[in-house]
Amino acid sequence: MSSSVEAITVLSSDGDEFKITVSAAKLSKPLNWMLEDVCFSDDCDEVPTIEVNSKTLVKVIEYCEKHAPRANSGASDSDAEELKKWDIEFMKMDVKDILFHILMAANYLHMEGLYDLACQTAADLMKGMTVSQIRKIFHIKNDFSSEEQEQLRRQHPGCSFD
Amino acid sequence: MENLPDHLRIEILLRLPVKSLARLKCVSKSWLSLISDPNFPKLHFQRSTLHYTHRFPYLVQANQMRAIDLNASLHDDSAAISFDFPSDYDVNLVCCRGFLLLLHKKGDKLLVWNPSTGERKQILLPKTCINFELHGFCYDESSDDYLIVLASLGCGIAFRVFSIRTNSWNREFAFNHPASITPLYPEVAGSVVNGVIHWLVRFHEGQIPENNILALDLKTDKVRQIVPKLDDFEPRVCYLRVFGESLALIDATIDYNEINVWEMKECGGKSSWTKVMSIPRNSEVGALVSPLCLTKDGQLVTLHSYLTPLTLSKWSSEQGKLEGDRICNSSLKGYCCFAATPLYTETLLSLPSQQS
Repeated sequence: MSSSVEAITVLSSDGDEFKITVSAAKLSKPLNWMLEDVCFSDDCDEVPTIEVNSKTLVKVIEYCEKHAPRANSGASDSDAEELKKWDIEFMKMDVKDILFHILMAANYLHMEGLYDLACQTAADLMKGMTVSQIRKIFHIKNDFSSEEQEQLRRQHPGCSFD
Repeated sequence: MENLPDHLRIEILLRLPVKSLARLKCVSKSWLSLISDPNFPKLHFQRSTLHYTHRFPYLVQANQMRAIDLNASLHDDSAAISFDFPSDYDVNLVCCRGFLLLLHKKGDKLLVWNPSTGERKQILLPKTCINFELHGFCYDESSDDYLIVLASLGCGIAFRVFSIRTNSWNREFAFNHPASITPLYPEVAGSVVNGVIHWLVRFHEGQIPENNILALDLKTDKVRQIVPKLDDFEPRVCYLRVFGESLALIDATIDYNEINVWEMKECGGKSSWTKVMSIPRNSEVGALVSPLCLTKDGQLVTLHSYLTPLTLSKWSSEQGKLEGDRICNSSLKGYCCFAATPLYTETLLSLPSQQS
């Protein structure tokens, strides 16, 4: 790959084109390998596809671009503080639609920081929820029979079905 | 969520506190089976160990205990947990992997209790142990067993060990020494680092008694005497704590103007000590702060032992030196019942089943 290339183009699983800077793409191991393997010069037509839908990929790229400078150069503690705040804002997203897609994308793209952030966000969300709230927000069906519920209640006094 | 692969769902569940997990078992069958998997409690515990998820337990009433999450803001009441406390037991002794070890008020039996799961086991004390002066509670990975050690001091020390797995007081041995040995404080639990239990005791040999550390390795039942070689270390206010993975000795200077934290490193059977922090006397809190532990963010948690109501503070540290500011402070109602202030970690672990 030529060193003059500053941004690459990738396709989402929906077939949309996205630009991502080289330094941001380095946050993901598989993207990094792509950079090394695929020819990204102007006379090359091949555009790699990333198995992540457009809506999710927009967010993943936004995260990469924000974190790239620190990941590539190492920054001061005040930057780290600022980045932490940014992460919290960034994760204020519609759970059922996108959080789990982000988590799966971070897993697929080997992005440790985003993976941990997504897991922790999901966990923090669940911490304060009742069982029925969790079922509702995550679209989970209660598949226990009433006898099983009764048994669970006896075995685990901490359990609550509401 | 049901579309998430199991390993990602487990990653999320591992980050949840025990209290939430109990509730989440009722969400659906697949969640129940993930949380009930026999490996889950171990993974969950390993994660909390990595993140130093210490809680500070104290009694609110005779039969109610609260445990404050030291990683959360000390003002955050929602991060605290409460549980019923068996009021016929004394509130002290020690915690190991989520199990509290308690002594009955009559002094004749012990209770091993996991407040999160409700599992409990009573252990009768042998007559020779009723007046024990040192105690310790640790986990032996190689035999997947929990061991309780009681020791009586005199000239030398007599040890008795209870194994949960065999359900018996199955070991007895002695540390022979000509000096008369006394505890520095009553009811101080041994500090466990790498499976070795450490106690700070006083040796009365020459004219001036000496503070030494006894390190008991339950793999070999051997006791090692460690003489802390510190600058100007004299028998006065000092005690042991566990900081991260290391044994720490807390020591006040003679004028009480500074509390020092010394960390022990071991190399080839030799121990060396490094001063890792020093807390200057602070007009607001005085010198009598007692360092408890480090949080996952590297902040130091201290207990203000002589303030009423009981107060905890967190300090941020920079380059091993503590900044003087209190960044968080919480006045606890109730009283501290832990002479040795053990810390508690919530776990879903269960005791090993007994072998016949």
